[in-house]
Amino acid sequence: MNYDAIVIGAGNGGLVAALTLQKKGKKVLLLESHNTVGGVATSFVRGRFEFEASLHELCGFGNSENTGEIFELFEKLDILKKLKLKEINETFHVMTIDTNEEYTMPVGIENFINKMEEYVPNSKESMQNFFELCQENDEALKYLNEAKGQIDSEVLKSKYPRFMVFASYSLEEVLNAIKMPKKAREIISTYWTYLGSPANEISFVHYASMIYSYIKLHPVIPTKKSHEISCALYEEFLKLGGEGKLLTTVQKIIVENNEVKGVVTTDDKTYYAKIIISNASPNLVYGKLISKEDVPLKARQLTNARTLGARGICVYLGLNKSPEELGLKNYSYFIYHTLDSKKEFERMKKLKNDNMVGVVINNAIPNASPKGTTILYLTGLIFSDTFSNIVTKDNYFDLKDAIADNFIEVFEKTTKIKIKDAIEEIEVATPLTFARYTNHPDGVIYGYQARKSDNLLPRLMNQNNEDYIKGLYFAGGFASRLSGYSSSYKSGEMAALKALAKKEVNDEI
Amino acid sequence: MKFKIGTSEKLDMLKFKNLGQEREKIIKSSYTDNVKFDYKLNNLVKIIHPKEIKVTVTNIINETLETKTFELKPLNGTLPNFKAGQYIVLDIMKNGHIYKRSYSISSSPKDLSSYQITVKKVRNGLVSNYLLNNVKVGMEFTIHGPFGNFTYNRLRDKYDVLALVGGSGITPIMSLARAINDNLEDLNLTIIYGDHEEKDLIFKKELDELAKKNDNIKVRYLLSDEHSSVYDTGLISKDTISEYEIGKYSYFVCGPIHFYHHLNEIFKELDIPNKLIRHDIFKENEVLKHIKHNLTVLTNDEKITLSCYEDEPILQALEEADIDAPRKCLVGECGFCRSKLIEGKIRTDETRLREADKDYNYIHPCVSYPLSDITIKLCK
Repeated sequence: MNYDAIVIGAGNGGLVAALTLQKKGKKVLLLESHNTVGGVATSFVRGRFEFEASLHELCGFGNSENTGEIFELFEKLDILKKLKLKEINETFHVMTIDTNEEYTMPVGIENFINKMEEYVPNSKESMQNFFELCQENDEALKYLNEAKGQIDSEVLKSKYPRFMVFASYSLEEVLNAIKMPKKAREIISTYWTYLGSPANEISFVHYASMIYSYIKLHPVIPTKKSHEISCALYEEFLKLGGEGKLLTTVQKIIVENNEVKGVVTTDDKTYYAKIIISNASPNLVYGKLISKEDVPLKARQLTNARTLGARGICVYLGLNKSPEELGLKNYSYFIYHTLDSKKEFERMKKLKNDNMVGVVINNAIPNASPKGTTILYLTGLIFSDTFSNIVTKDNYFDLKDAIADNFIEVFEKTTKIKIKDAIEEIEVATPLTFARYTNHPDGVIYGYQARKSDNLLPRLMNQNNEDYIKGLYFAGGFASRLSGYSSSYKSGEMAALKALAKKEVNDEI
Repeated sequence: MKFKIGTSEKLDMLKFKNLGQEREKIIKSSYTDNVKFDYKLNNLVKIIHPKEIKVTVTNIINETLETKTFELKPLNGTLPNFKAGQYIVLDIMKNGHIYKRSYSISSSPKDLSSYQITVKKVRNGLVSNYLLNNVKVGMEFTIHGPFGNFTYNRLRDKYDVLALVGGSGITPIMSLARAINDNLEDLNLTIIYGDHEEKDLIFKKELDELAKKNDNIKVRYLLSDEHSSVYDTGLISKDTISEYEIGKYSYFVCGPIHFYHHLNEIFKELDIPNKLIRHDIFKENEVLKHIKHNLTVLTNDEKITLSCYEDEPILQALEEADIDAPRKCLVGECGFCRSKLIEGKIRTDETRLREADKDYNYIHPCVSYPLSDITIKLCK
């Protein structure tokens, strides 16, 4: 069978890539190993509860008056009207175990600055400066995204001069440069775990773009879990004539003369296309799906040079009391030992590190579970392969129980909210669970770690030089926009548009 | 706003321009070995959750007149670990059709050299009776799993568990009792085991022995069709359950679907919260074959039309027609058979469907019945 394009994996990046290509009138085949689409953007049912598998809050959205890039993307893809999304009225709420601090930050730039001034007197000026930089950063990034790798530094220099100055620095370096008080620096860096690198490693550009979109535009959450978005994308793809095959796994990508030809699935069927977009990791593609001799030297070197990002652990709890009865007032509960991200990053190389993010989805969507109940999920990260080193087939069940025990104990102790007696359903996802459903290396959920030359800007600036095999592109958390829901959706669009642009150029030649 | 980070603005801009080149340099100096996709965790997935396992029947034990235990040993290696209460799916070839049926593992999770499943004769039972009559030692099967959430969790469940068992529902509870005795589970288990007559009771001897030697296992029997001085008579009732302090126990219900409905009524009367109730049910699909509808099935590659009775689960009709539809639990729990209803009306159980799936007309064919001619699209 011949197609214009084949997309491997129906995660967030793959779904958007497939739909974008289909919208452009291409004949697209979407292949997915699992029996539903979405990858980790899905949900599962236990008893009376439908649990969200991974989404905490979707950033970059906004509303019709104040649109973010994901709003615009979903509008372009004609799925916006099908979604019922709820705004979350809190940027974040953070508590510390060792120092007993607690901060709740609102959405809206003015509100955020004022609240910070309350917590940290004399932070106002630096906060205003921070948001000014954020705005310039946002505009410059927009230019970079639209330039598809063809960046004119003269344009950058004249339009975004400050961007050129701060662009190569870490979050910590820039916050120091604008003389933000230490406590305000710590508080504003709370989201560092969402990007998976501490303040001294994560680029300012990346962090600023994320937090700005959270604070300026309300974060949102779909009323019927992320599965609602995944379903909407897939339905639209099918409606336009796209072909999707679930429970179908690719075992080989055929490459001839450094150009993709098609794929072979595990049921020994061959499908041909000149464009292949992989939502699967480069590690899997270069390490297993493409024959060794067909993997270019530089593709090997790039993959070998990278560090795998965070592994995730999630404890899903269905509680038989309402949030009010339990005293769960906030949407999010970021819990760290301290607000020092460097220290915490080191601590989180260990499996038992106590740090977590709790999300009470009912505080945004009251009917996310039956009346009088609450869904609380506690997510932790590990910045090493320690889980793989510890886990065996014989200790796996006990390890899951021990993880859940610890999460619940730390949550109760830190928030002083009792949840244990209300547990009606409990499920634990570990890196092994994520490896099972995504086949990402070592079960990572954050793609490659965002650090030094593998931060957002270097990836974006070099995206055109790194398509080592003609016709092969990557989407999803391992790709040039890095991980996270919004980034993965956007990466799918970028990969599709890039593939089409290159195809046109090649066809003309 | 003026601000300074590095030593001069010019150098900062240069630094920015060099970001891409810096990356290039790092790539060029990186090691050139082949990329290896060889991760301990991804390899472990295949051991803990294999797609399928080839097994051979190594022993058949006659438990009662109508019940046999089959011991299944893997052709290679050992079997995946499991939690007491989980089930496997067995592929059964009968008259050229492949049937998939789920059976709880009755053996202890301690012994991974084999799994035991215990099968009871079912009136008009299509597959169970075939297994009882035809399977011999040495026959080979493919199994899938273990799967399922009918397991004990010390964070969620009470230390004291009252297992309410109907008939062959004893199988997962037997595994749990054995796990307690093997020190793999720590709970206080009281089993109330109801069946028709004494001769129907499976594992009675072993249960009595376990109860005798292990303080954490208690068992009592309830016979509905036999009066004797040794056993209680009747069905598990509100009074039976009330004998055990309400609030102290978690209830593990295992038996046929009408047994579960019967107990649910009692739980409601006694105001027992959901949190304390776990259940594992099995269904006997008796098809009366009165009204017939056309069933059009779309798969990835074909369109097939067959017929399905109004009281027949759609999945069963697919199986009869040799369509290899994805399936596991067969009772609407696992979601693996999720398919799309394109056209027509059905009667179905929606309790385990995702909310968004309802909007897009997804159904679980194992618990869906046609009310008109219908068309469905399988996920494969």
